[in-house]
Amino acid sequence: MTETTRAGILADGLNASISSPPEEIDPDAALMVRVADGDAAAYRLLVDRHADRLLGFAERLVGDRATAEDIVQDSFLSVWRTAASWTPKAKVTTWLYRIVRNKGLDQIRKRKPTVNPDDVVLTDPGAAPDQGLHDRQTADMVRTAMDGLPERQRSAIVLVHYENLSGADASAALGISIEALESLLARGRRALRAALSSRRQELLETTR
Amino acid sequence: MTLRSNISERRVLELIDAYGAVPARWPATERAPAMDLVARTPDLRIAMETAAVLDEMLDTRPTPMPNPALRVELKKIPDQRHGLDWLSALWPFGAPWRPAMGLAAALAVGLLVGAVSPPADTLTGDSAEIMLDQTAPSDPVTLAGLTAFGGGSDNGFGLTGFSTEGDL
Repeated sequence: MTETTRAGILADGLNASISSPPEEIDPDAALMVRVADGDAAAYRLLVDRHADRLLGFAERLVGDRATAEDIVQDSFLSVWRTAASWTPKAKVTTWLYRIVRNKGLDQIRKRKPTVNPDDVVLTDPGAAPDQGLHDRQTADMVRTAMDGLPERQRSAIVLVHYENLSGADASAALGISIEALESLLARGRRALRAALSSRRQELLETTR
Repeated sequence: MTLRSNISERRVLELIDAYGAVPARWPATERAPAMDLVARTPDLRIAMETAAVLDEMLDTRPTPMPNPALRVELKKIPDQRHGLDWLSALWPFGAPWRPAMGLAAALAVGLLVGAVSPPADTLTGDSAEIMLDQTAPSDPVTLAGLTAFGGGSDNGFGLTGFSTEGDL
């Protein structure tokens, strides 16, 4: 990365709140410039800003907690080592998601797609016991259905639905066009609807 | 301002199929005209309701909990990079701490077994003979090898009564 480019990014970051709409400025860009220069403090700020959401993404992608933690650890090691390869063309967030997704793909290829429900840490829904049980059962069905999707469809849905990335950012993270992303999303949601519809019917029949 | 000519019913259906029933997930440039068309089109409202059911089911999946301990470990990476580079060169198949932990566990088990097992020279003559009877090889090749290495005489392990003649 050239000094001129870095200076431009830093200036953009400083002026972001004054002259430009927030969505046009990548708030992490200036941080990445410092990380690329070996600034450990900047790297730790990046960890604070993104580690939790990347862990959530990895966990939803591969289906178990321990593997997700390994993926995130490996990903941040790559971030520290290869920060200089980041270019301002790529939004930092999408670059990070892409790293985690690639590491996740490596893990998925290494093992069979099995999921141990005990590996997933669930948050307390805070609802009434019956409602909580119902939601828990539905969540288990959703997780099973999600894990049954082809990886590309699963990644697309996790990025857009759970990580709330825009279509442009999600397609950038996956390295595909927006049209291809929308196709993956539509096919994935159709498959989920079919899988959850049949399971829901099974559940209704067993309770009769 | 009218938005009616900006988007087709088919395109809005594509948006609903792909992004679901929450307009905030739709592309910003198409959001307003698409919402306007949904409000005026019964078929699109039905599509929205169907998509909303799936959205609600997806939302029942809980958000994974953060791991503060992991964050602490991640922040140590800049300080540990030389050691990790060295370990990664030896173990390029994933996180290097895993094989390191395996080796440490194997070492601990080995030390534990070594500490609690009686030394070989404390075995009595009877127990040594029983052990040798149970493990004595019977094939001629192995026996020849043992003989070549001093089997049948004092073999340096403090064991007596070691003989291959009966098996031959």
